[in-house]
Amino acid sequence: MSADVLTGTAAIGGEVYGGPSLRGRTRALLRHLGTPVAIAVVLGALYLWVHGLKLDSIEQRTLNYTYIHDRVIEHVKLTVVATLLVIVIAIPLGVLVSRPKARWVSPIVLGLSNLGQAIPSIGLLVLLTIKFGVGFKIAMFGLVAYAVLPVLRNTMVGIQQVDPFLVEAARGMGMTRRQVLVSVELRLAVPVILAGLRTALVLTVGVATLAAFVNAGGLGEMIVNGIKLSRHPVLITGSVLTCCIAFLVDWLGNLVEDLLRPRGLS
Amino acid sequence: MFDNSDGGVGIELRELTKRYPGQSAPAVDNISLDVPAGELVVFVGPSGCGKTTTMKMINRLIEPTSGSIHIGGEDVLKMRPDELRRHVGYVIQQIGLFPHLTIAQNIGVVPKLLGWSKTKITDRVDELLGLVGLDAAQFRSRYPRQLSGGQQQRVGVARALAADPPVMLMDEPFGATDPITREHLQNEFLRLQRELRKTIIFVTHDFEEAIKLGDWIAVLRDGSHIAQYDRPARILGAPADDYVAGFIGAAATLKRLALIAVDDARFAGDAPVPANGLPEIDGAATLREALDAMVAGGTEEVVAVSGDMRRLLTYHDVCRTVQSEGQEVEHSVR
Amino acid sequence: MTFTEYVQSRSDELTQAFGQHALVVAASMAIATVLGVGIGLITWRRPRLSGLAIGMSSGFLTIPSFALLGLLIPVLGLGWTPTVFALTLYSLLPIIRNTVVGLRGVDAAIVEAGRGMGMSSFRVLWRVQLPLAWPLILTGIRVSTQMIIGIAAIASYVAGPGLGNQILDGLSRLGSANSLNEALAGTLGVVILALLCDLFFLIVRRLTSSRGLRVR
Repeated sequence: MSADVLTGTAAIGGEVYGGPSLRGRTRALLRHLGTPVAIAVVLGALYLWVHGLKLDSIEQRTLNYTYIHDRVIEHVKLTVVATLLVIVIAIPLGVLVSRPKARWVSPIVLGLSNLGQAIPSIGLLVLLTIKFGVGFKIAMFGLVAYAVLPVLRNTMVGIQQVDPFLVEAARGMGMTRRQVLVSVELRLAVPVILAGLRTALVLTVGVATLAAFVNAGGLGEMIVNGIKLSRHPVLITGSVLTCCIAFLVDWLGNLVEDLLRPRGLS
Repeated sequence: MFDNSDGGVGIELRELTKRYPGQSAPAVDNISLDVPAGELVVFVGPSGCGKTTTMKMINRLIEPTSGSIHIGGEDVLKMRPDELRRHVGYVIQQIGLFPHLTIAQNIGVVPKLLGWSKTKITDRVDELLGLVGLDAAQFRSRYPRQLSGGQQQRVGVARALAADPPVMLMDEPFGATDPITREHLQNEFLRLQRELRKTIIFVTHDFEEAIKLGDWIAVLRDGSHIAQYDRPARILGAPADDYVAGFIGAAATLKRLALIAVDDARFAGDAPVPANGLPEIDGAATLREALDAMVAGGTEEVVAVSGDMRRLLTYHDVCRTVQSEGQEVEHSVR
Repeated sequence: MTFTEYVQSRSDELTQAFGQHALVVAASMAIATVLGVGIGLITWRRPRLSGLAIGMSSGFLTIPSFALLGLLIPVLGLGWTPTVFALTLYSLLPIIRNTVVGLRGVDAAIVEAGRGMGMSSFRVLWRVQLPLAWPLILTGIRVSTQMIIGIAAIASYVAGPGLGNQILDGLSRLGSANSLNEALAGTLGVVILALLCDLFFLIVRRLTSSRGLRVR
């Protein structure tokens, strides 16, 4: 869905690295502060709004602390576990297919990741459910299958785009292949890998809402209930909470990207 | 690794061949060549002639199909390639500084691989930065992208020198810089080499550069066949065949030589020289003729006679004159 | 019933769903293209503005599709309206971004040459910059289309049109004989539509981008 939309796009703002000016630092800090503040404001407003409403019995059943807490935990759990699995599966695989001997695999991976994007997430989840039944594990399987390809692709591309002369220089200085991989290729691929991971993470938060269709819980349940029962407070609470998680996760990803981006890269 | 005690190690290539599968002609065909210890040999030839392949076989970035390589008498093909490369300096045209490491970290890569202590590495980095003319305090903690092309290439040279390897391989190291920077880098490199006396193989397709830097020049043709391997003066004065002559012809140096009078040369010293059997040449003759006289006499010195002045003119004087006085050439013609 | 039999027996229904899916995507893309290229044209010279436009549209993309649809229901109700609205919002980023990057990427020397020949700045934009940036803009449009074809399937839950209904029908009849066929038909339909769109854009690219940019 929102997978790497930047395919085939040149990066914007290729500003030359000019040293971390104080102003730049403060700016970056403000940028990183904005999102959590906005999320807090939205959550506060949501709380006040729902608190001021006269809830009927149906709404009361979902708009209470325990129910919401459980759904949020389920949603975060789906997202985090799926992401961890994706990291464990996709990054080593990406490293493997980036090796010179596996060059022939890379067009296949690129093709697959394009085709994978064409498969609708909801179709995949429903098909899995019809075939294997409902529940957390099935939802998890779908989430992972959906998010593996962008991370795999970015890992592979991130390593392949490292300047071959840097690898030659490293080899020429007597680094072993493993040392070249770890301290040159992977280090320089970090921004690209993290970008893929961040995309996958946000994607997963979104697809996890669909887990409600296969009885795997999460905030999608609130949205589904809100639509089915025509209860807008429930619908809106579920939607807003999901959005907040998505933005929070995106923010975290951004923070990690900024922290782990090798210094010296523009 | 290499016994460096007697002041440098030589390189011997014997019947070295590289054949790529699926190609009829070998990329490098049976080259044998000796590089004397502490001297700089330039491989010069058109692109695709196999000069880079030949060089890369020496640090085994390319594995030879057959033949042997010895550095300081040791069989390179019996060493572990990674270990070998840590003791052979390597500079490439693209420089290949790691953008995510500081200048100090870049220079410290090989010492770190060799397990040097932190303080030893820091000291060495500062020493090397000074050696290549960069202020250590200023550049140590910068990143490569904050440096100009010329500065980056100096760091590239410093990085290759880091663990004090007796042998250096340089693949068109100054090829990507603008003419003025290149001239500058070449001059500094010459000064450095006079001091360090490394055994160097230097690949270029620029004959001018070969003449300027080389103690020896190997003119290569397709398949890395040696067309001529000799002192620069000999190659300039007595090209072995039309191929070499064609290569020289492309160089402006000789044309310039023919335009400068011996009297206008930059003599290193003008102490009067008594008659000593060296070839003599009239001060009104051109440097080209002086060079011919050197080649004919099998020497690198002639006596320049103008009136009753007798001065010693060396090959180096000729080179210096040609390189440093491009503008004065026109003057002397008028 | 085998899958082939199912597809044959429901061909009318499937064709209609396919057509509607294509239609809702096409409508959204038409709006998004006009908006996105327009915003790109207005903002590309001003980094602050284009940064804002790109930042906002990438914010839209962060919103999970099901949540966005949920938020639109109280405002826009069910059906086509929230679907087209949501799909349009999602398509904006790639189009705006590629328009801005494409226009900025045009060699300054070429622009100067145009101006030097006495072309007005509008004419330079129209005759020089836009044609040169067009392949990249088209890539943005293609990427957006691919993306919203999948999202449109989710919109069926808010009574949006298209193949998503097949998938959801399959889910609601979980356990019945045809549920797998329904879900499979819906999913494969979406994939086929995506592939057809890719082909479409390949042809459009051939036809609309200057031959001078393609020859090497």
